[in-house]
Amino acid sequence: MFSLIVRKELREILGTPRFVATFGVVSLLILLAFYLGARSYVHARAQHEAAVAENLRQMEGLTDWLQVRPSISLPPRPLASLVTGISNDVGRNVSVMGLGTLRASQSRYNEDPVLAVFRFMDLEFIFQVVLSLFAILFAFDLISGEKERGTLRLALSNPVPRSTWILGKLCGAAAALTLPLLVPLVLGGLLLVMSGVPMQSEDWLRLGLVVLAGLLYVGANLGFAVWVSALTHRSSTSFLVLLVSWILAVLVVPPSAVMLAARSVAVPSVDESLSQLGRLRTQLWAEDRKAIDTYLQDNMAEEPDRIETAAAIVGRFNEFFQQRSEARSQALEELEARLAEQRANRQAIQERWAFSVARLSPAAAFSVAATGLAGTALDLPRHFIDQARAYQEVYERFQKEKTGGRSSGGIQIAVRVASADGEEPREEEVAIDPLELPTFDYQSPPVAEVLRTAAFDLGLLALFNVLFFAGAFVAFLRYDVR
Amino acid sequence: MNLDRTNLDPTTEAQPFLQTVELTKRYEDGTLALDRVSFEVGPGRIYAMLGGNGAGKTTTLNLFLGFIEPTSGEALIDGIATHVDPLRAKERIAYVSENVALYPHFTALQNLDFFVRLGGRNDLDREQLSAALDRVGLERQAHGKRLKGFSKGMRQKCALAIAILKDAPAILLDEPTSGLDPKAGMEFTQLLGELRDEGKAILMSTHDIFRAKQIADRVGIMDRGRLVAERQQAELEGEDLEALYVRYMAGPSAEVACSA
Amino acid sequence: MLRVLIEKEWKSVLLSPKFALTFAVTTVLILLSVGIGLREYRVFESQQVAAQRLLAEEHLEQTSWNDLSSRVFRPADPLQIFVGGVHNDIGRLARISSRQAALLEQSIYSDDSILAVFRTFDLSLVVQAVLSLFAILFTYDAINGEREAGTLRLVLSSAVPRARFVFAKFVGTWLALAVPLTLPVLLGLLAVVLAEVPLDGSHWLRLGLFLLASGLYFTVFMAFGIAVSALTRRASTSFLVLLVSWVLLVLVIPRVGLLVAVHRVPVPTVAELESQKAGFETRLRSDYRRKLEGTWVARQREMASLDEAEQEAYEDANLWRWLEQDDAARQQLDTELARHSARLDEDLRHRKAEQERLAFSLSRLSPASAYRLVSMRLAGTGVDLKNRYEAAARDYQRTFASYVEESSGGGSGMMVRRRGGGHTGSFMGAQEPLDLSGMPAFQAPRADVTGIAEVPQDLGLLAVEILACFAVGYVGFLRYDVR
Repeated sequence: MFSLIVRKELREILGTPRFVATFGVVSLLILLAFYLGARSYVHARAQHEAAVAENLRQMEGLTDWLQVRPSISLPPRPLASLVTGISNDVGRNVSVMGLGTLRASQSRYNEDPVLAVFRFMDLEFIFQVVLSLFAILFAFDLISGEKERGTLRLALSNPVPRSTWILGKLCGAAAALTLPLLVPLVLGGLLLVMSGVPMQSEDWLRLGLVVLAGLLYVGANLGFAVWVSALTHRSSTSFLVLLVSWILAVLVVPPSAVMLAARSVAVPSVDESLSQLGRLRTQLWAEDRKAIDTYLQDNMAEEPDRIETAAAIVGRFNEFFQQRSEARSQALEELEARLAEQRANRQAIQERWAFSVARLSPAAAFSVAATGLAGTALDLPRHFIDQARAYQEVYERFQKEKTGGRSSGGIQIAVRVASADGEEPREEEVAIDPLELPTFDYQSPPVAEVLRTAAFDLGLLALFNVLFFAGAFVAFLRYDVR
Repeated sequence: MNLDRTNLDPTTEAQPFLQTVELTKRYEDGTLALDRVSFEVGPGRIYAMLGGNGAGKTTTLNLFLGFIEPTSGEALIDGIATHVDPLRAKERIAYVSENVALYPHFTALQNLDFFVRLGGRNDLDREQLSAALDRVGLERQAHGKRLKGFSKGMRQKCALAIAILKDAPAILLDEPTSGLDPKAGMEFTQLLGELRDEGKAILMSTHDIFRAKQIADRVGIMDRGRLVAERQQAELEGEDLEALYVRYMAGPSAEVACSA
Repeated sequence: MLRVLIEKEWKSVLLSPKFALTFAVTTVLILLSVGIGLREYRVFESQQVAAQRLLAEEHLEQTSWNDLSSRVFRPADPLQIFVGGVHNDIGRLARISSRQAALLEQSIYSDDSILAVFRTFDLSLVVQAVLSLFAILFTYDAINGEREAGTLRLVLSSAVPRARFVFAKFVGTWLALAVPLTLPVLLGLLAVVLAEVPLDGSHWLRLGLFLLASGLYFTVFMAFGIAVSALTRRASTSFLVLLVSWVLLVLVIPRVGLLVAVHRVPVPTVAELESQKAGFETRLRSDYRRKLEGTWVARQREMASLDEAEQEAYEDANLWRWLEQDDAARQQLDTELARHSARLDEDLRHRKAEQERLAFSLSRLSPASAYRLVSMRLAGTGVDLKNRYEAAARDYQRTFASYVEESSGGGSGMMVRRRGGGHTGSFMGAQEPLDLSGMPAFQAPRADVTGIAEVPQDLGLLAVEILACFAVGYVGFLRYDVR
C-alpha cells in the first residue's frame, strides 16, 4: 500500500508538464552554475598565476632581498567559485613586510564593483533561491489540491490509514523532487572535471556535503509546503502563504536579522585599532629616532677622527637599529594582538547573536552550512591572515638567512658612505634569484574542522526537516477532508 | 421527533448492511447537521436520501466514510461502527463522490489501477480494468487518454468503474447524476440497477426527485438534519413524491427543489 | 461604463483576502527596509565621524612632514537608505600620502564581514524582488481566471467592447495595487524626514525619480502578468509561466549577463597592476640611486685635490646648485613614476568601462536590472561611486602633496651623510607638532551631475516595456477565445 502511494506520487509529479518545464529550467540553471563556476575558477586561476609570475618577474634584477616585499594573495579555490560566500568581500592581497601588522586589502567587489551590482549566480544561490521556490511550487497543493480534485475523499474511502497515505505522499514527493536533481548535479560535477578544475578528493567530499545540505534545505522547504498545504483548504491560499513565507525566509529574515543583531553588538571599528596602532607606531618611532640621533652623535663624538670602513659603521648601526626595531615591533605586535583579540571576542558574540536569529530561516542555516563547507564563510579572512602571518615568519627567517641577519623591520636604512679617496666601498652586488622566494600556499581549513562547524547547521537543517515533516504528518491526521 | 415512516422493507429488517442509529452530528460552530437520523439499507437495495442543500445528506455520507465522528449515535457498515473501526468498515464499501476530478495527468486506466489497488485489489490486469470501463460505457479510445480532457460524464463513469472493480458489498454515491446529460443519466441509473441486482447495498444522496423515484427502492426525505419522511418504491406509485417533498421542506430549499 | 469596469476591478482586488495579506507584508517590509537603511546610515555616519576624529588626533601628534599622511572619508549619503547599491562593497576611505596612488579601501563588508554574509535589505530590493512577485500574483489570472470562473462570458455578453474591458482591467488593477503601496512608502519617507536626515533639493529630485522608476518597474510586471494571462487558457499555466519568467528575469539574467561580460572582457586585477607598478618603481629607483651615487662620487672627485678649508668653501659655493640638481632628479623620478602608473590606471579604467558597458547592456534584457541600474545611478550608489571618489581622492592627493611640499619647505630627502672626518648631518626633523591649520579639506564629490544622463534611457526602456506588454495583452485579448 505504502509503495503504491509512493509510486503514484512519483508518477503524478514527474508526469506533469509543469514538472518537465520547471525541471528543465532548474537543470539548466544548475549546469549553468557549474559552468560559470568552472569558468570563473579557470579564469581566476590564470589571473592569479599571472600575478604571481609577474611578481617574481619584477624581482629580477634586484640585488638585495631587503628590497623585496613579497605580496601574497588568496588563490582561487574550486569550491569558492561554486559557493562564493564572502570570498569576494574580503581582502585578497597581503603585502608582507618583515614585521608588523598584516592587512588583507583589495576585495574583489571593491576592486570590481560592477561584480557587486548583481553578484554571482553560484550553486548556493541556485539552491537557496531557485530550488526552494521549485520545491514550493510542487508541494503547495500536495494536500489541498487533492482535496479540490476530490481524489482525497475517493482515496480515503478506501481502507487506507491516513498515516500511510501521508507518509507515502511525503516520501514520494521528496523522492520526486530531489532525486531528479541529482542528474544535473552529477552532470555539473562532470563539467567541472572536463573544464580542468583540479578537484581533490577532499573537495569532492566537501562538494558532496554542500549538495547534501542543499537537498536537506530543499527537503525542509518541501516539508514546510506540505505542512501549510495540510493546514489550508484551498491551494491558492496555501500558495499565497508559502510565497510570503518564502520571501520572508529567503529575502528578508537573513539580511535583516544579521543587520539588526550585528549592529546591536558594539564591535570596535577597524579604524580605532588601526589608529591606536598608528599612534603607538608614531610615538615609538619618535622615541627611536631620538635614540638613533643620540647614538649617531655619541658614536661620532667618541671617535671624531677615526675613519672606519663603511661596512663596519653600517654593521654596528644596523645592529643597534635592529635592536630598537625589534623592541618596537614587539610592542606593536603586543598591542595589535590585544586589539585583535578584543575585536575577535566582540565579533564572536556578534556572530553568535546574529546567526542564531538568522537561523530561524532554513535559508540562513543552509547558507552558513554551505559557505562553511566551501571555506568561504566568516572565518575565511581569519584563516587567510593567520596563514599570511605564518608566511611572514617564514619569510622573515628566509630574509635573515639571505641577508645575514639584517632585518627589514620598520624602515630601510641605507647609509651611503663616500670615502675620502673617492673609492666607493660597496658590497658586491649579485642579482637575487626570485625563485628562491618561499611560496605561499593557502590551505583551506581541514575537513574535520569544517565538518565540526558545519555539523550544527546540517543538524539544524535535518531538524527542520523532521519538524516540518512531523508537522505535515500531524496536520494531515487532523485534516478535514470534507 | 415524529417520523412519517411507512412500513419497512422486510429484507432490510432482517439484515441491514448499511445502518444509522440515532445518528447525530453537531459541528464545532454549533450547527446541528444531523439530528437523530436512523435508516437501514439491505443488500440488493437502493436507498436514496433526498433533500436540498444543507439537509445533511453529505454529512451522513461523511460519517459513513469516517471523515468525521458522530456526536452521538452511530453509522454501521455490516455491523461495524465506522467511528470505531473505520478501516475495517471501509473495506466493505465503494464510494463515488460528487464531481470527482481524479488525477488529471493520469490516463483513465492509470487512475483506475491506482484506486483499485488502493482498495486492496492487486489481482486485476489491464484487460479487466478495460472491461470495467467498457461496462460503464467509456469509449475504448478514451481508456489511454489523460483525465484532464474528460467531460464530467466521462469522469463519473471512471469513478463508477472504480467502484465496480472494487467489488465491495456496498456502494455510497454522492449526487451521482447531478450535471449529467439525460442520456448519461439514464445509462448511469441503468448501471445502478444492475449493481443492485447483483446484490449490492447502495446508498445515494440526490436532490433529483425524478431519478430517486425512478430507481430507489426506498426514499428518505431529509430537511435541516432530520429524516422527515420515508417511503417504499411501491408506495410512490400512488403518492406524489414531489408534493410530499415540498410538504416536508420549509424555507428556500423547497423552492429550489420544486423548480428543479 | 469604463468607470463601472474599473471600479469592479479595483474592488475585486481590494476585497480579496490575498490583498490584505500582501499589503500587510509589503508595508512591513517597506518600513523594515527603511528602518534598516536609516540605522545603517546612522552607523555609517558616526563611524566616519569617529574615524575623522581619530585622524585629527593622529595629526596633532605628527611631528614630521615626511611621515605626514592623511585619509579622506566617503561621507554618508542619505539616498543610501533607499538604494544601498554597492555602497557597502566599496571602500569607505582612501589613504592619502604624497607618494602612493589614492585608492578606496576598507569596505564595510571587508571590515565587518558578518554583514556580507546575507548582505543588506533596502527599499530597492523590496521593489525589485517582492513587489514584482506581488504584481504577478495579482495579475496572473486577470483574463484566464475570469474565463475559468465564467464571468468573462457574462461580462462580454453585455455590450462592452473588448478593448475597453482590457483597458479597465489594466487601469483598475493598477489603481488597486499601486495606490495603496504609496502609503507605506510615504510613511518611510516621513520616518526619514523625522529622523532629521539632511535631504536637499537634489536629493528630493533624485528620490522622486527613483520612486517613479519603482512605479514603472512595478507596472512592467503588472502589464506582463496581464499579457501572459491574455495569451493562456488556464490560470495555472499562466502562473507557472510567470513564476519561471520572474525567476529568470529577476534572479538569473542580471547575473548571467554580468558573468558573460566578465569573461568576454578580461580586466587585469589590481594585484597584477600593483606588481607591475612596483617593479617599474624598483627599477627606476635603483637607477636613480645609482645615478645619485655617481653624482656624489663625481662631486667628491672635484674636491679630491683640495684641502679641507678649500673643500669647505667649494662646498658652500656649490651646495645650492647641488641641492637643486638632486631635487630635479628626484622630481623627474616622481613624474616618471606618476606618468607610468597613470597610464596603467587609465588602461584599467578603460577596460573596466568597456566591461561595464557590455555587462549592463546584456543584463538590461531584464527589467529588473534596468531598474536596479537606474535606481543605483539615481541614488549615486552605483559603480561610478568608486570612480567618482577615487578621482576626487586623486585630486585631493595632488593638493595634499603640494601642500606638504610647500609646508615642509621642499627638501624632504632623508639621508645620513658622513664625509671623511666631517660632521654628521642629522636626519631628524623638528620635534614639535606640525601646524596643520592650512591643510586643504577634502570636498566630497556630488552625484547629481555625473551619470544622470543615462537615467532617461533606463526609464524609457521601462516605459517601452510597459507599452510592449500592454500591446501584447491588448492584442492577445482581442483575439481571445472566450469559450
